[in-house]
Amino acid sequence: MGILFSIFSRRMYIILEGRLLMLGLDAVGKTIILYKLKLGEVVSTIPTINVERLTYKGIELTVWEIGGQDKIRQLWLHYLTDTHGLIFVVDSNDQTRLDDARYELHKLLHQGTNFATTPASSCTFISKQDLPHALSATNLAAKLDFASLRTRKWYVQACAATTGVGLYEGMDWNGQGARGDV
Amino acid sequence: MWRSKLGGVYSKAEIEAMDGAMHAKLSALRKLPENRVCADCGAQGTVWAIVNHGVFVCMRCGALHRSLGTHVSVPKGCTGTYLWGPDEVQAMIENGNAKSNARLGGERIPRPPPGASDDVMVRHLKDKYERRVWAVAPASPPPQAPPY
Repeated sequence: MGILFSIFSRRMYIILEGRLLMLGLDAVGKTIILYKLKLGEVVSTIPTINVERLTYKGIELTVWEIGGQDKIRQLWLHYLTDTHGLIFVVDSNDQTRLDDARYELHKLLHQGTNFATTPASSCTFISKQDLPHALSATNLAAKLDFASLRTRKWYVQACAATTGVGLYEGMDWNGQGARGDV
Repeated sequence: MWRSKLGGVYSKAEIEAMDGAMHAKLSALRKLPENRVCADCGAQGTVWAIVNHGVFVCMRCGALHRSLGTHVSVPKGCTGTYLWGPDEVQAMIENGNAKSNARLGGERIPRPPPGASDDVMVRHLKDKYERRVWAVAPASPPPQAPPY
């Protein structure tokens, strides 16, 4: 599942491509995660729809990152088609909006079931772990109610994009998803 | 249900219906001389609002505020991609750049040099909004009568 194509030789020349979609409420740190992965550095940003290609452990990933401001959220669903992996970013430092995050995520996945495609892997980046009021990933996963998303495999990864902590662990999971290993 | 960033709860339909009126109010506010220049760096033109402080800022300072964390700054764009709640617009009316800056220290707040790096600006914003180092001290309680 999730593989576009492979094969020249199974070992040497496997060419893999995957399409990832990164979503989350506004100002949770999506763009900074994308550019930290792409460039290894932190850039300051404006509200966004970004698309970047990056190679991660031999897999060509196209990452679509869609802004989370109220009116842009309506576009999320349209980017879900043909997506191999979904990355949902939650600001662990902003507990007042966890309900909103859970609502938007569950709504999206519910609507998404009308589409033929379902992301093979889903990963949640619990961002801004370096800030003082950050909730732990375990705590946050419970509040986002992943348990009710029984049909999906979720990987929850705590991270801090300014330092890069946790990003590559999360990408390992997405890479496995694109390869069809999960 | 729709929740504003200041905690007000409204029906989503109601907020969507009010969108035009809310943005008209915001545009009028941003045309006031005090709100036309960034509350933090003084640049012309303000496109972001920091709703918990009631200030309008330029695009770059808006991006820097976004990096501070919502325990310091709660940012919101003014150019149409956000829905605005009446409580948020009211906060912008009641505060605004002149009043908020006066409360945060007024003339005592140093103006970062033009072309200051992101690091310098972020330090300035943390001093101003998080540590509030130039803020006017809250009125102290009246002195108590000395005990006999």
